[in-house]
Amino acid sequence: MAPKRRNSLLLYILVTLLLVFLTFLFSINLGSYHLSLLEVANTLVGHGSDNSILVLFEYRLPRILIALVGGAGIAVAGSLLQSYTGNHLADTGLLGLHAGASFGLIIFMSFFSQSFLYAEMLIPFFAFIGGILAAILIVYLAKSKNRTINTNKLILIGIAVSALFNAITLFLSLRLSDETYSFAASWLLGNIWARDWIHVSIILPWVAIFSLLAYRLAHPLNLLQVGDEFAQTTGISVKYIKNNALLLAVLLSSGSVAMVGNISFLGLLAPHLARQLVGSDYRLTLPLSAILGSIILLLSDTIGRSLFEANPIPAGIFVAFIGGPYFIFLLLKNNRSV
Amino acid sequence: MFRVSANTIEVKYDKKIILKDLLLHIPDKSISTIIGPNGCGKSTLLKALTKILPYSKGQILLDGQALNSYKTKELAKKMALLPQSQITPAQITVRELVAYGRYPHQGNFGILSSQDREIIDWAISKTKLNDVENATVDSLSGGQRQRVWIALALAQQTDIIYLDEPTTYLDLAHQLELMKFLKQLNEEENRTIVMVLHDLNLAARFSDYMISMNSGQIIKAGTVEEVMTTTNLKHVFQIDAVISKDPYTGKPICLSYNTSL
Repeated sequence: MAPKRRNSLLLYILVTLLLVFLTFLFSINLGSYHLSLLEVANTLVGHGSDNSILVLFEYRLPRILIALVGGAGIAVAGSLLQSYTGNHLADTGLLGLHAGASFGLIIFMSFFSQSFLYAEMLIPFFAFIGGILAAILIVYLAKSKNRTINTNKLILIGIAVSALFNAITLFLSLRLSDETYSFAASWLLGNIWARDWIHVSIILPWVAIFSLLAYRLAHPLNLLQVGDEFAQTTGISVKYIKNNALLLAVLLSSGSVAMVGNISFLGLLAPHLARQLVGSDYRLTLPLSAILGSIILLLSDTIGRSLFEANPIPAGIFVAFIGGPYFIFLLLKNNRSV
Repeated sequence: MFRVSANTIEVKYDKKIILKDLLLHIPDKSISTIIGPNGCGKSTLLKALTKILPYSKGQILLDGQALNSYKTKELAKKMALLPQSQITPAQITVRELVAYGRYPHQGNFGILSSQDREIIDWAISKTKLNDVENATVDSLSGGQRQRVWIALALAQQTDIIYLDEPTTYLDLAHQLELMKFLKQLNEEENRTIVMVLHDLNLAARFSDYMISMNSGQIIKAGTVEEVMTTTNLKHVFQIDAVISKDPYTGKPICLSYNTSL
């Protein structure tokens, strides 16, 4: 079975990259300003009209890139969090990390967004501070006396912390201005609000660097799957690897959701599909999860903005539309096997 | 001739003292077995010796060096552990799982060298898993699965192997097969084997050295003949045991026992 799996791996990579490309074409072609594929191609190679250049390079391309990168970041973060908790149902949204990030984001939006010309470069850092606050709170509360983490407790506490941070975010935004409130409310629904090149220029290196660092953990995470004690005696510094996985999950998810809104279930959906396709080796599932996360988020955003032109539907709603039932399905399947 | 020794160690678990002033020397290149009632600290002792649990007092020495001064990866080249329970990752094949044993000898990404592959081949054939090496571990029987975990430990190429109740889920025949395999490993490859066992007769039959424990302390450690006595078993387990001679091996055997009054 192993050699067969290895051979099909190349196929999976090619097929999924082709899918990314097709989604990209689909997405760049759709929108309120209609462009034919030929016009798109012409514009991309530098022969477009002023209008098509504007639409493509200033509106669609940055938004597509942000969706691709954000989707990948959330998917890798979900994968890392599942490894940290030892539970395949863990999701950075469900566990409250997104809510923490939104708190950081709203602080930025309220007080610092106009502070200097490229202030938006600071967004991921603010989101990260919010996210890490939530993570520390959740882990601290979920730790039992003997210093192990109870997964069920972790998820329940995550829900509570999530509600708390969301309440703070909405409260703050209501107090500040109508504008901030509508921003916060649409963020919570998973609206990709970041659409400019400045956002691309900060989210792209952020997700790229931390995903590469996450990939260094891939093989140790494999060994962690057999249990902490066994991993320890096969040479894994369990605490170090787990803390790093959590830290990277917070960095990746906070930075991503700060730009693409509160996308829940994606961190659960993408790694799960990846495992279904290539098995449980993180060296394969981490990159595949990233690609699948990109595709799912870009597709959701494209459908939301093109099928409902007058009143675009936030991407988060489409992801939840697939992710929610899938989560229930996994929950039922899990219950049956235990 | 003691590469592993514990000098008056204390081990706490959640503020409760589990092991107190424990003194122990593990003889090299032999099979040592830890016996004792439930909750006496057997597994805790094994976890302390493998650096899974820290000790709060005293010192554990491995090759003359404090155990807690070893890096995790360095330690994994010297000792392997088969814990009481393991989790089998979904869809993993026997070969892939055994390859995890090479981790302490590899770089970060787990890329296998030709030497790694040879050692994995050796571990698989040693545990007679050649026929199933590309099958998923989920699909194996209990006895085969236990051999996979042992193959993983073998692939680590350590001189010392710890096992925590390795026979628990096995039937009589498979228990015997496993113990004979460990004996062979000890005799042919000079591995030091330390295990926790519940079955006194298996322990007596295959051990060179027995360690009996109660309430976090060692009651008696020594040869099988020294430990498998009515007085000692009464002290350790609060039982009245009838000790006889095993007709196959000549070793002491516990024929029957009753609650001691």
